Formats: sequence, C-alpha cells, structure tokens
Amino acid sequence: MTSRVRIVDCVAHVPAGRLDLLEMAERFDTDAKFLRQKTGYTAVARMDASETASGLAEAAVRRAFEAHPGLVGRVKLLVLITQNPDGYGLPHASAILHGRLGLGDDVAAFDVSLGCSGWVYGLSIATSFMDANHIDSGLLITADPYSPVLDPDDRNTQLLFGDAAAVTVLERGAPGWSAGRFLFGTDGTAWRSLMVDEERRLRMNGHGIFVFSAKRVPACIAETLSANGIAMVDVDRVLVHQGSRYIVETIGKRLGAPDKTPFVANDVGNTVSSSIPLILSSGLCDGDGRIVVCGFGVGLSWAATVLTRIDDQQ
Amino acid sequence: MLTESDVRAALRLTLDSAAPDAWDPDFDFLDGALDSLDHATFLLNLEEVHGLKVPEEDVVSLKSIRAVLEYAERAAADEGT
Repeated sequence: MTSRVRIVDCVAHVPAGRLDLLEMAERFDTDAKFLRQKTGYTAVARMDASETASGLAEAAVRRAFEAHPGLVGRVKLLVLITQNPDGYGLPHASAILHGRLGLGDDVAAFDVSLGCSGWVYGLSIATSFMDANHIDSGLLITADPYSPVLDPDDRNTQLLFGDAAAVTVLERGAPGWSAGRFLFGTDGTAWRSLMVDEERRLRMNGHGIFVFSAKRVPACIAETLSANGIAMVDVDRVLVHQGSRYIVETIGKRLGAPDKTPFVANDVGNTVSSSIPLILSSGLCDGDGRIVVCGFGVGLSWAATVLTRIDDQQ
Repeated sequence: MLTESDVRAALRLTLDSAAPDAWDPDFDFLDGALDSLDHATFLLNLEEVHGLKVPEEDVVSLKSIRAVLEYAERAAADEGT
C-alpha cells in the first residue's frame, strides 16, 4: 500500500566556510584541471571547528520552521542520519537536537547510522514509522560532518568532502513527493573501502568506491524503475548521491541518461547523506513530475526509490 | 584472448580520443596520460567487455599496453591450469 506521507519540502543549511580547492591544489601537488573536471568540486563547505552535527541540524530545522508556520507544533518525529554525531555518540545526537529545538516530550527521536545511502534509507524508515504509529508530521534530518575526521594530509578526502545538513519535511496527506517501492542493498565484504580508522581518520579506497559506484548504482536504478513498473523515459530526472562529478557522469552515461543525471555539488563538496536533499532544496526539480533517487557509499550500502509528485491533498 | 587492438580500443573509449593508437606498447600511460579515474574506467571496460578481472593489488602494475597484455596472458594461463 502506498503511504500517504509526502515530502513537502527540503531545507538545507550549508555552513558559510569554504575550502578553496584551486588554492589547495598547489599544496597537494594536484592538477586544478583534475579537480574541475573529475571531482567537479572547486570548493568544499567547512563548518567551524566548534560546530557539531546537532548544531548543523538545528540550523536547518530552524529554517524549516520559519518556512512552515505551525510545523514546530505538529512535528512528532525526528530521524537524524549521521555517522559523526556529537561527542562520542552517546546520547544520540537526535536527543541533543530535540533539546536544542525545545520540542515537546511527545516527540520520537532517534539516530540512524548510515552514510551516503542514508537519506533514501531514512525516507523509508521515517515514512514507515509515521504510518505504523499514526504520526502526521515528521522530520528526516541529514547532518554528517566529515571535517572532524579528515586527515589534513590526505588529498583524496580533504579535497572531496564538505559539511552540510538538510531537513526533509514529511507530512501526511499534503501535496508533495510520494515515494514508491524502495530497493536496498549491502556489500559488507568491502566495508574497509570507506572507514574511520583507529586514529579517528577517514580512509577511502577511491578505486574501489568508483568501481562499486559504476557497476552497482546503474543496476540498482534499473531494478528500481522496473520494481515501480516504469522505465527511464518515464522519469524527468535521476538524482544520485553527488560523490564526484566523474562518478555522477559515469552513472549517467551507463544509464543512457546523461542529460537527466545532474552534478550540482561543485561549490559544497560531497556532503554524504545530505547531497540528494540539497539538490531537492535547490529548486532544480520543482518542475518535475517523477524522479528516481539513489544513495550509495559507506558500507558498502545503496538504496533507491522513485518519487512522484502529488499535487492535491489525497 | 585479449589483443593489442582490444586494449587500444578500451583506451580510446576511456579517453574519447584516438591518441592511444599512437602510443608505444611500453608507454607508461599512468605518467600523465590517464589519471586514476580514467584508469579505473579503462580496467572496468576490460572486465565488462573482455572478462579480465583485476584484483586491487594488481591495478597499479597495469600501466602500459604491454603490461596489460602480459597480465591477461598470465591470467588466462592460470585459469587453464
């Protein structure tokens, strides 16, 4: 049965700080052309060193509350996707966020530990939780700042990851995006491909991640379209996790849909689970009727679904 | 069996250029001609079109047309034993 929970809005918070990668290229002995054409990033967003996941999330949620009067009183669910929570992860960052927002004690709040597939997973989790528990309004929040775990001397990660947060506003029976069938997958044999090591530094096997993305993601999207009874011709856009320009363009080519598969993260970087809601918040898809979304990365893990715009209150 | 023509075709496809046709078989294409992402795409093409699977520990050794051909030959021989 299709859920009546809809995405009514996505609101982003991108910290003002930027690491200018064209300046960094010289320090790392990296070709600026490679950055522009391959990673696609010319700058990556950086939060202040004292900032936290819950702080980024709070900024995004407060913007959503400003944009949607009355929402603050309706929200009964906070789902926070992060693998870089405040402190040592206990308590859960969603509880800290709940306190910072001053929400009532009848609000469910929990974290989900997932990386770049997290927003799509979280959409299924939040929607199902709302349906199972008769909740009409909820927030799916992504806030996974990587800057605290980046090795300052590792160009492969320093020049790639950016900090950001996004909140996806979910309301029952409202006009907005309705999710179709989801597909999920995991390859735990390759968990070392993207991990934080014993010194709390992120380590990435770029070759392994690229090959995984190029092979697995187009197949996952094709299966998702099929599971929803549609074909590529039926979707207006393909939103994939913005891992890098080269990965996004490779996926677009292999899907035979390069023009439908945008890369738009050039001035923020790879913002992990926030990359897809950041695109939705930009207005790029405002004229679209149906899109497919796919997140993939840490785990290795992937997830996809189809979003269809419902314009009336069904 | 993977041929020199197959390898050059995969390189042309990767770079969207005919330049690899002029490369000497011993030319080190990892020394500026292919970056790490191009190289990964090239090897992915060899795997998907020609069935040449390259474990990660061997990737960096495949830096010339001759190295790729010799590697494929050894892989085929190992498969046959």
